[in-house]
Parts: sequence; structure tokens; C-alpha cells
Amino acid sequence: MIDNEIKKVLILGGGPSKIGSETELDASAFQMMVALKKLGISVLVMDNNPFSLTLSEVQPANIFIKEINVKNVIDVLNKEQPDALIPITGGLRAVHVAQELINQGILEDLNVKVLGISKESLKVLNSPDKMKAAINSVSEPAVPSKIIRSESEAFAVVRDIGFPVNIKKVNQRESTERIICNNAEDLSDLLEDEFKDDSVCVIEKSIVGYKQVETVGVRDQTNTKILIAGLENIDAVGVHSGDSMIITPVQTLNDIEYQNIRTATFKIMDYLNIIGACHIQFALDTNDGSNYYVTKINPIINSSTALAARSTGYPLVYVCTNLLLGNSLNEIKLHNNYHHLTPIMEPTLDHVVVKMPVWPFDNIREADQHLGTKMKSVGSTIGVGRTVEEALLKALRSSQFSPRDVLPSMKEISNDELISQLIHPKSDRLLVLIEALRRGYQIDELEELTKINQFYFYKLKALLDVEELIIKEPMKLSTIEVAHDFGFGDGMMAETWQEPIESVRALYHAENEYPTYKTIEPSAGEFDQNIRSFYSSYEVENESHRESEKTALVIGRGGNKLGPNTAADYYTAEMLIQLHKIGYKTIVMNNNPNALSLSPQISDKQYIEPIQLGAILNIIELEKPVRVFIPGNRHFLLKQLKQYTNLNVQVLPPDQETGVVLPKDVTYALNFFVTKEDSYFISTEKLISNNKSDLDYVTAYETPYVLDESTLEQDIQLSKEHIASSNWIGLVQILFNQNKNGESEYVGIRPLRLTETIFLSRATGINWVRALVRFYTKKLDIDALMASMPDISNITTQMQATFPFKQLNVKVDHANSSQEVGAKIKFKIND
Amino acid sequence: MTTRYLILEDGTSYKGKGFGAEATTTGEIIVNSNMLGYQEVITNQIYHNQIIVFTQPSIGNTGINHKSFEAIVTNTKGVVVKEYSNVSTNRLGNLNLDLFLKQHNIPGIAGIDTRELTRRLNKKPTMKASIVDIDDEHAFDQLHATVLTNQQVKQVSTTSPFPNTGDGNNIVLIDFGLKYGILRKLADLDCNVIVMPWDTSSKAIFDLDPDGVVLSTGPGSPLDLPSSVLDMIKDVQKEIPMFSMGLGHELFALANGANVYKLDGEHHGSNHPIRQIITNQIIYASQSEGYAVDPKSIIHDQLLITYVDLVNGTVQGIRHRDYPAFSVQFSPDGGPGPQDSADTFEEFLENVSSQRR
Repeated sequence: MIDNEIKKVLILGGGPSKIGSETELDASAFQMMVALKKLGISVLVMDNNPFSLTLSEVQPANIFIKEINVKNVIDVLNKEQPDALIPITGGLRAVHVAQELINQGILEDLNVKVLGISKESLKVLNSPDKMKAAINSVSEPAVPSKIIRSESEAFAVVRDIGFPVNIKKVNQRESTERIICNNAEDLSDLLEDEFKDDSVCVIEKSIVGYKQVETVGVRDQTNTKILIAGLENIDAVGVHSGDSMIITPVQTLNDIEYQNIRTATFKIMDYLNIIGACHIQFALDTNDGSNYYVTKINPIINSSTALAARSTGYPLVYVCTNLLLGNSLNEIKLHNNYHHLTPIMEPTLDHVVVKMPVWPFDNIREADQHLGTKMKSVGSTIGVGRTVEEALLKALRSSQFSPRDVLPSMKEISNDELISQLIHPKSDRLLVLIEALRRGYQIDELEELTKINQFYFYKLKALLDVEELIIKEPMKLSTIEVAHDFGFGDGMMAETWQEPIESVRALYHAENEYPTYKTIEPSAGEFDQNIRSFYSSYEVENESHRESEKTALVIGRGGNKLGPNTAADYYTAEMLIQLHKIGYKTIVMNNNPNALSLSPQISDKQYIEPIQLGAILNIIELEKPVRVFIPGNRHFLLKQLKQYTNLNVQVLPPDQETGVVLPKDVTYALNFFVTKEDSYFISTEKLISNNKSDLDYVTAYETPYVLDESTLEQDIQLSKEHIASSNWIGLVQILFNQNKNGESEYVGIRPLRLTETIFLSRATGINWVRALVRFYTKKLDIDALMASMPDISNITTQMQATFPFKQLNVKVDHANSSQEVGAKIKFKIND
Repeated sequence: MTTRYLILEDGTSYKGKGFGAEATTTGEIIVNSNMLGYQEVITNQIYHNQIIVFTQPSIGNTGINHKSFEAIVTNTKGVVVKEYSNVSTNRLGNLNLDLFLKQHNIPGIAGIDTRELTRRLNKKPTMKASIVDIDDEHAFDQLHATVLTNQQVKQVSTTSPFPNTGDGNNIVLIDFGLKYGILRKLADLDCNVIVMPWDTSSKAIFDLDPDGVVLSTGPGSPLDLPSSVLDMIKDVQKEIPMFSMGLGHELFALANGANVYKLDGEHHGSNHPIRQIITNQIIYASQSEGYAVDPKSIIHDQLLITYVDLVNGTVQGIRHRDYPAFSVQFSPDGGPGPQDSADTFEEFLENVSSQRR
């Protein structure tokens, strides 16, 4: 039963994206907000992430654009007096704030409940010791560890738990590295140094090389529990699970092992009194999977819960929202697209999902590319298929930086380097594994070196066999059929065969062969559900049919990389919402499991596919969209799609390839909305560079930039002239540079970039993505829009990019915009 | 790999790749939606007459493992899957799924759109299917003409008693198609188990002086068994605590005056919520059922419904009002599937201890 006392809640957002938490937090907050509103609850949102969809979809009076910290949250609680606080979609930072508020007794004073996380789990969240105690108290195994004060104590422990062990010095001031000791000699050498100054160490059994498996469970207040998903890490313990390839459903556990961790998950959730979702990590002995440890408990929304939901089609956030308000699993009423029992059916899959991390090393070359216990990837992609091979290859294709569809090779890598990387994994792990197989390494040998289950090597080998077939038997239908079954794309075959992609496609189209789309739903075909999320396969039955006569296809950005990617995802989501509002049926294509733009609430249909020409054409042929939108600049893709002249393709913001004048130095800009007939001044904007006034290093923005009246008038006039002599329409930015004497000159013109479009929306309170969508579909009333422009002269808005340098342990003097991981925004009221 | 065909009674034919035994096979085709535990499923005697379609697209990944047998001699008629792998995980590294199926003369067929097949089968009553080399008219004629045996229990049950020794309670286990999971659970609880053939009389049971009696799961329809089995149950339940599962549960219901009907579509999986009536608790369990107890036929002053499947409303458990006897439709031992209901074995042993003289 719903708790009727809760009428108003405050959701804490996730703040700027960073390594370890990207758009999944906002996507969850958004879905939670929608669900709460549906239950008639008033929602307040607090966040300082400018690329938050949740902020955009809540009425302005309920938005608090502030950094999530104790002071700011107290301010809002005092002012707004909500009945409850929801920190679970805000990542660890928000949960820590909630912890602090509880500890200080503030929530009790204000009579504010914390929803979604129990007192018991708040206690274990920060403390490995308390977590271990919790695990042990339900008779489950935690990794054995002990505090030691002398060498003899250390050896006494080792006699108990065996080598290898990790030693970590306990030091209040700084966090110290864990050092691994494989034998007695290592240990006594190390301890000789450690115990000089009365040090205290923690000695812990090393579980490096164990199999890493995660579970996501849900529990309600009547104690009903279901397991949403088991997520198997392909890489062994030693690689952070965020940097590991992940596969679901679990592939290499037997049922006994799987039921052990399912039962353990539930015991822990009971003990911690979790109402909602919980993510738990396990390490299993590869020689005997019934020997395992519980290694981590995360009772909040994170990328693993997001992956579990995306992979199964289980409406996890909607369900959790209901649970935290007091509904039980069998009381939840879902949208009638779902079978009414879906909340309480344990998801069972008839497809395979593989998640591939995306690393930032192309943009931050200084960083150490080795993978370890600290997460380094900034995003991920998923491949969905009906076989492991198909899912694996689609995930790989989706994760590649180049939109060209080729199976990448690591031919150039030396043998020594190859062996070293097999043992000490680096990014692009999968390519190294493939290369090793190409060079004839035996599977048992590779299993030993990498601690990756042999099963995956068999699968990779099968892919290589198909690659060989593609090379040997070009332009044959039988080859294409096999290749399709294994997840190869048309582009890859076309490239190998040096044929136009159209010829390859014609070969199988002639036999009336087309991909079949299957629903991503949690009942493995048991129920007919109208879930709108699909992936392709080449089989008998196609479940996705043309959506409508008036469909807009929006091609998402794929896995998050550094640069304006989280912004692009927000932009994509906003486009979908706006296109829907003006009467289009909307279809999104994407492969980032954390994507905002894949939230089922904001589009009519979602395709989880590689963003490559063949896959795009397949969808276009089925759906026959009247408009195709590409958010963000993607020259290669655009060039490819432009060949299909019957398509109505629109890039937003418009393509920067031609007609852009970009200077080296810049100080400020004027932003305009430009129609064919006229141009309208919107705002002045200060461009703040990390390297003098170099445009490439502009990663912070401030608006308005105060100019004296005559300069402003002059600049506007000059801008309008440049705009008139250019072909640009839509949002256009005119760049100015100011010299030491304060004299400014026109230096360039470009379409307003998408990060700045969002910044402009935040600063003006006008949704400029909406304006652009309406403009390009001829539905914009420009006069009404400009008339609604507020006076923003008394509020300064600042947006600043954030970078992952600290997490990657590198020092970069002049960060550029291709290194951004997220951004934060703030407002200042001018006196 | 050779091209083979899966043909259905409704005239549909699927082209696939043969694996396992090369034999032609015919059986009832059913869908199993467990995501793991293909070995347990294939070796479960309940599938004596049946061809199993796995919705989980990839099986064979963990080889054949000595802990995962539900029976050593397996009688499954066929395996249908999207994809299989030949991984060996036994210590000699020489036994994979393909070889295992060959050894037991079970044909398999891969490369099937099992999702489409599942959706098709869900809409229709249970039908027969064959795995064949050529999908011609003759094959379909053969399929239609094939009459499947209804003597399954007789064929799978042990013909002579055997023990599974332990230090604890003396339990007689009647083998209607014994699933080893039951033995494992009883062994965990230190029971001394004597496995007896399906047609054991109540007198023979009493002669063994058991503390409790367990009726195992098994294949086929409970209505195909002679009434002597029901007489045995009627006699024994009065004297000795009894716990029945699957087919045993259906027989227990029949012995106590309830009716059993054939389900429109069989259900094999572990994803259905099952409500325990007395606690209102919802649990999940391994289910593999083609028959169910008709709730309307239950004589309420004799039997009490204890568990209900929330998806199809089927009775999932009953208890006798007068005797320490109860039964469940599902497999509380898992294999494969959740351990949520494993405590039913403890409940049985509680009955046993409180009855003990």
C-alpha cells in the first residue's frame, strides 16, 4: 500500500558525469520522477548537471540547480519542506549527503524521511568492516582479512587463509596501495619495511583471478524478492567490473553456483532490510564455483542496475519507485503494454547481452592504460543477440571509435607485448584476446594466462572462423548468412570484399532475406507484451513492424566517450521528446546501456544496434521514416547517409564541416537565432579558455558577457552582416576576440555547438532544442519565441566542464574540450 | 554438422543443424525457460516422452558435471536450441554436451528460432514433434501416426530397491521417475533413504518401518497409473508422515478425492510467482508441470490448498487436514532453479520428528 503521507519528495541528482557514473543516474532520476508524478506526488529535483533531462522535465519552480552538498540540501529542505528525500539516483555523493543529514539529526528535526535506502544499508555503505560483518552475520562468506601489528601475527593469519595475500597499510591521512604477496618471502620482505614505525596493516586473502559475478535483486516490504539479473564479468577479479566485458544472462556458472549467489543475494537484502534494488558482487573460485565470496554490496542505482534493466526489459526504476513508496511487488500497476504480472515475474531471457567498456585513452594519452582495481572506462556499449558470438561482436562493433564497420586487428603488436597484455590487461582487451588466437595460442594456455573462462575463447574462435570464411568466400549468399548469424555487419563484408555495401545487401535482399527484430522483454516469449525495445537477428519471426506513416528516426550517439557525449545524449533525448510533441512517432537507435535517450518513456520505439550504416539502413528500410535526425557532428555517418538521396536527413546542430570560420583566439561570442529571412540576437557569452584565449581549450562559459551598449550594438550589427552573407540558419554563434585594449574584432562564425545550446537553454529558460526541432519541421513561431525571451541581465549563468584527470591519475595543464567528461552549472544573481 | 529438421504436428517445419545422436525422434514438444541447468533438465526423468525446447539461447557452456545429474540414465526424446557449445569441464576434459547426447541416443537440433517456436507453442495445446533428416510428407505421416507410450513411470522407475544411507530418519522414497535432487536434499538432512519401485505396496512400506515416506516426481499423467498406487497412498498417509512432489503430488491429490486435469500448455521454468497461502509470502521454484490439481474438486474438510501459482492460478501445494501429509506441485529441490522452497524438506522432517514414537 502506498504511504499516503508522502506528497512531496526531493530527488537528489548525480551531479556532473564522471568515471563510474554517467547518464544512468539522470536516466533513473528521470524515470523515477515520471513514476512519482503518475502517483500524484509532487517532485523537487536538485542537481548541477546541465545535461540533466530530469531538470528539464520538472516545472521550473521545483528545480534547484545547486551542487549536491549538505548545506545546499538543508537549504532546500528548510525552504520547501518535502516529506521525503530520495538519494538513490544521485550516486554515492547523494547517499553520503543523506548519511550526514541523518547523523546530524537534521532529517528527524525536519520530519523528512529518506526513501529507497534503509538505515541498515547506510551503515555498511561506507565501511568495508561493517559490510563484512553484515555478510558474515547471514552466514555468507566475505573475503577473509585481519588487522595485524607484527610479522608473526601476519604469518599466523596466512597459515589460516593461505597465499596470495594483499597487504595494505592502515594510514589515516592517505589511502595507500594494496600490495600483493605471493609467498612467504614476499611477505617478510614487505613487512620488514612496514612495521618499522609501529604501523598497522590489513592483511587480506587475495582473490585476483577469481571469477567475478554480479547480481541485481529487488525486494519489497512484504519480503518478496526477485533476482532481476546475474551479470557475469568476462574478465577476472583484478580488473574493475566497470572495465570488464560483462555478459548477461550468466553463461559459465552451473545452476548450483548460480542458485548459491541468488540465495546469498536475498539473505543479504533481508538482513539489510532493503526495499528496492540492490547490486551485489561475488568472486567465485574458478576451480570450484561453490567456493565464493561476497565482495561488495551497492544498495543504490548504478550502471549495473541500469544494465540489468536494459538487458531484461524489466521496468526496474518504475518498480523501485513504487516499492519505496510502500507498494509491494504484486500491487504495482504497470502500463498496459506490459503483462500485469511483470513486476513479480523473475526475468528470464532468450537473448544475450554483452557490455563493452569504452576507454578515454585516445583523448588522454598520458594516462596509464593498464586495467586494475580502479575504474578507467568512461562509457560502454552493449550488443544484443541471439547467440553469444552475435552479442559479443555487436558490442565490439558498437564500441569502436571509428564508425567504419571493420573487425579491428592488432597485427602490429609484438609477441612480448602481447603476452604482457594477456597477463596485465590493458584497454582494448578483446582485440588482444582475438590477436592471441590468431597467432595460434591454445585455449587452455590463454585461460591460464588471462583467467578468462575457456568458453569465451571458443566463442572468439568461432568468430575468427567466420571471418576466414568471409575472406575466402566473397560475395556469396551462404557466406552472408553465416556472417549475419554471428553478428557481422554488411559494412564489414563490403569493406573486406571491396564492394559497395549496396551490392552486398542486394545479394540477400534478392532472396527476400531481411533482419528480424526481437523484443527485449523479461518473459522469454511466455507472454505477449507490447514492449518497444528491439534488437536484430536473422531468424524466422520479425516482431517489429513499421511504426507509422509519420516517423522520425533519431540516431543516438552510442557509448559515452570524452568530449560532448553526455551533452549529446541529453540533446538526443530532448529531440525525441520535442519530435513526439509535434506529432511524429519517434524511433531511437542507440547502444549505450546508460543512455538517457533510451529511456522508454521518451520514444515510441527503441532499437539497440551498432550505429553503423548497414544497421541504420535496415531500420530505415523497415520503418521508412519521413525524417532522420543525427544529433551532433558525425561527418562520416552523414557522408554515408547523404548518398541515399531519398532520405530526409538532418544533422543538429548543423554540420560544421563547411562554412565554418574558426579562429585561434576568442574571448566572447554573440548567439543568434537565424531564419531564412532574418536573424535574432539572443545573448552574449564569455568563452573561457584553459590556455590563454585558445578556442580549442574553451571549456567554460558565462552569460551574459557584459559589453557597453555601443559595442554591443556594433557587434550585433556586424554579426548580422556576417550571418546574412553566410548560409547558416538555426542557432548561430559569432565569435569575437578582444585585444589588450579592450577593442574587439569579429573572428569567426559557426553553428552553436550542442553543449552551448544546452547552456543557453539553462541560462535563458527557453528550450532551444525545442525551438530547433520546431524550426526544422517548419513549426516554429519565431516572433512568439523571441517575445518570450526573458531579461537575463541580472543573472549570470556559468557552466564549466569537468575532467577525469584525477581519477586517471594524470596531470594535464591545459585541458581541451575533447577531454570533458561532464559539466556543472551555477547561477549568480547580480547586484 | 548435418542439416536436420524439426517438424511439428501442426505442419510447421524448421530447418536446423543436427547435433547429439543422429536418430529420428518423436515426442511431445515442450518449452523450458530456465536460464541455467540444461544438464539437470535433460537428465530429469520427467521428460521421458518429451522434446525440450530451451529458451535460453546458448547451452552446453559448462559441460557435463557430476553434480548436475538428476538421473544417470536419461530418457529425454530430444533437445531444441538456438546454439550449443562443446565445452568440457570434467577432469578428463572429454565429455561435452554433444557427446553426452550421443551416448544417450538423444538427438539435438540447433539454429532454431526458439523464440518464435516458443511463442507458437504457447498459443497451442501440447503437440507432438519429430527431429528428422528430411521433412517430407512421409515424415509428417510418421509423426501423426506415432503413439507415445503412457507406461512412462513403469519404464523409468527402479525395479529393485536401493538404499542411500544416512544416520538420521529412515525415509522410504517411492520412485515414480526419481529426481536426484530429492536424494540430495534428504542426504543434506542426514536421512537414511530407501528407494522403492513405483508399485510398492503399503505393506512392503510398513515392513521397512519408515519414519516418513516421500513420493517423487515423475513423467506423464497420474491418471495412467493403476488405482493400487492410490490405495497405497491412502493406507500410508494415515500412519506415516508423507511428502510428495510433482507427479507424487498429483497422485496424493487423487488419493484424497481431488481431480487432476491436463494443462492447456505445459509450464517448465522458475519465473512464476507462487504464493504460500498461510504466510502470504511469494516464492519462486522450479516448475515442470503438464497436469494440475483442480481446485474446485478439492474436498475442503480433507485437503487444504497451501500454494498457488499467481500466473495461471494452478494449485501448487496441498496439505491433508487430518494426517501429517502434504505435497507440492513444484520441485523444492531446485535442479535447476531457486532454493526458495527448500525448507519444505525441513517441514517434512519436523512432521517426522513430531510423529516419532
